[in-house]
Amino acid sequence: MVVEVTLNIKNLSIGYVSKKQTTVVYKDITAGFTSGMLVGIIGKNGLGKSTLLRTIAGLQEKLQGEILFDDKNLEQLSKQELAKMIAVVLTEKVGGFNLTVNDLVSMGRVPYTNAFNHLQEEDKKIIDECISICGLNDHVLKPVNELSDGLFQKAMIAKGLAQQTSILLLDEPTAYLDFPSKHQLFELLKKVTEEEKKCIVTSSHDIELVLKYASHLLIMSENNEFEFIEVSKYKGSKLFAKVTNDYFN
Amino acid sequence: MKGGFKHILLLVGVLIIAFVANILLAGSSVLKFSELNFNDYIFRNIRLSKALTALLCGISLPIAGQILQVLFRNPLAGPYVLGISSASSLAVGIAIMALNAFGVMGYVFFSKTAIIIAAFAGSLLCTFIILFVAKKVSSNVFLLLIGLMLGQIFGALESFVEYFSTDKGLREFVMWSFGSLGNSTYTDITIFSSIGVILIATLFMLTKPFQVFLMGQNYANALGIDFARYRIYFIVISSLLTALATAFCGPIAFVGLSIPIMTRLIYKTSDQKFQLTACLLLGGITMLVCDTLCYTILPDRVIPINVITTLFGSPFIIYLLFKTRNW
Repeated sequence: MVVEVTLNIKNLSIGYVSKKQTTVVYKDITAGFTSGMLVGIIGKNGLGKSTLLRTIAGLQEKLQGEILFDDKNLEQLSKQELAKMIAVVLTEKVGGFNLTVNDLVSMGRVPYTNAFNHLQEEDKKIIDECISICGLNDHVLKPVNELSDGLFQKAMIAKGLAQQTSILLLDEPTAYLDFPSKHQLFELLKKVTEEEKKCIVTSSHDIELVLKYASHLLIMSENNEFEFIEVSKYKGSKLFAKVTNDYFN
Repeated sequence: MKGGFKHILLLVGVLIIAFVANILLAGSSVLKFSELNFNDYIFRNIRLSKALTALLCGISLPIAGQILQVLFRNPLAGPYVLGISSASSLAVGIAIMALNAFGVMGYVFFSKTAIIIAAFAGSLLCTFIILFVAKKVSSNVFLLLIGLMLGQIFGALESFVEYFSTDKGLREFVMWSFGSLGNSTYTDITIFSSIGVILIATLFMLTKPFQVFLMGQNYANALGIDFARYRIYFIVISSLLTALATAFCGPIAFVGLSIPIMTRLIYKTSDQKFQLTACLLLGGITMLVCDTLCYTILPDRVIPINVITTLFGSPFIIYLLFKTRNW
């Protein structure tokens, strides 16, 4: 069963550290994520949406502030413990080496299997369920690198679901997709949020879809302005108006 | 993989046949099965030791290649790519030329030990450079390019050494670089097999992280697998396997790169436990068959092993590539 976790970030600064200098990409981000939330991160490219997601997922060091899973700091958790709380779907491609959809989704069980990665009956059941939730039943044995972009994203989401985490992070899952596929993908995210009691945080440039499907908005803009609001309150947000204006100018 | 056990059993059967056929056919005369006698000098010290060396070479190089291909998620990677083979060759080149220049090459035992030590030293030196770079950078493509450049540098230095070498030294080095399976004693084989078994057993203990490496660095970390740590283990295992084979048999071309590709094309599975097992069995079979061909194609002539592995292996890979698209 999925253990529900609340994720809180407090005064978080993100960026990159090299020998010569520290580059701050964004600072003072504060937000709280619990199950049942579908959060859309919006803002222009290059503002740090991916960096934020990577930092929360523990793939990159934070600069300052706190990332709390319930009352535990990210740094206190082992990689494996973290892999049971948070799953990611990044923009990078996976495939080749005869990797099929089934193999890819099976990867989601890695945090739970023994040292030889042996799949128990229980694991196989979970894998099949996740494949069917994402509508991939007809593509189980297809090589991953032969999937369309839409199906590939669904397969990656199925892998994320198989990880049985309470939080799922996605980095621009609808980029490269045609319009019907974008809709389908958000439908799927919404369904998973509601039925599986997940907390999903996704970045996206498809603002109208985010408004339609998401429950919360995390708005990022230049000048480090930042807002975390319920979607229903977007009309009152000056920052939202400003950010969306950027898209049309 | 479904039915994997049957495939493995079949490969083991073919391997045994190839092994026996190699002992009977690969030599100056064809032996009969009924004549085989362990006390026979030729059987024991020439045929059997050569077949065992071919087997060890065929096992270790494809495993080294498969590790690098998965690590870099690139089917072009092989033991040559990180510069490890070139470093070995350069070190051996320097050793042979130096021994000749000082006129001590005539003592067989001395020169052979020197070659083995040099090959090991060269591979390990290159491995340490690669590991040092690997700790500094996280990008695998970057590492691959550094490896390629190192290979180029070692190659250029090798030409440089060759240019100033004596005629005799040059000839010996060229002979070594053809690759040879026939020079191993039982001491060599014991060293080769015991270190090889330890390395491959260690790799099989690590098949879980190895499997997850198919997902690349970020996803591996996100699945709870410490990519940076296991990457070092895998590079060390791969380099040592290459070093062993190069030290005892010279730079054997082709098998390290092509057997992993061949295995993937034939069995179409991403299961790394199966892939590694099939790789080492197919590699053993290929080396034994190629060595047999070296002795049987031309009457009274022995063709260098590298010529056969490349000439027969490459067209087969091209055929498989055209036949299957998904790899």
